[in-house]
Amino acid sequence: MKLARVVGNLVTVAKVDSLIPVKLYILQVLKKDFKPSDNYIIAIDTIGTAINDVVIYNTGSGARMTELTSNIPTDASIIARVDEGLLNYLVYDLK
Amino acid sequence: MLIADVIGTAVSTIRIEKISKAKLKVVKTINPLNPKDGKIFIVEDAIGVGTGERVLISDDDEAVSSILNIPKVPMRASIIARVEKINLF
Repeated sequence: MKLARVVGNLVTVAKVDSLIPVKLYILQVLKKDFKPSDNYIIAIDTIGTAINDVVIYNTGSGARMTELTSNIPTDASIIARVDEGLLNYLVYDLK
Repeated sequence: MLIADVIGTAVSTIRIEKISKAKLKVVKTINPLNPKDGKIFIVEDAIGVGTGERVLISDDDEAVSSILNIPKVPMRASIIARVEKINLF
């Protein structure tokens, strides 16, 4: 599981049938000090997040273990929204 | 999942039996946050796309086997959608 910020979404057509009802978000992966990195990943939204939220996403076969994604051929899903982080005794407000 | 551009087709005549019906495409990944990035992949094509189109690829073996309905398929990445638009805010 990794931390990332939601920076955009994806409009797709002609997709695999099971992918039709889900939302696809572009996530910018965060480094360990909560700063943005250059890496991105496309993930399925399972909890209803919005643009600019900091989220936790899960990759690999674990991405298909949620109720929404059990039949979807995905390799990444958003599983939680993060409110704040604690690092070196400093609280970071990530809302 | 990653975004990629289809840059070609892979033709193979001798394959193991399990993947005899799979269509194989050559794709180059793109990174909307860093235009210099890009890796070449061979992927299985589940929806039927042409060269030059922008697609979404799922990089997981069980995803491929659920699309092809073959258990334990020895392939790892698959095209699962055609990308119409990338919205960055």
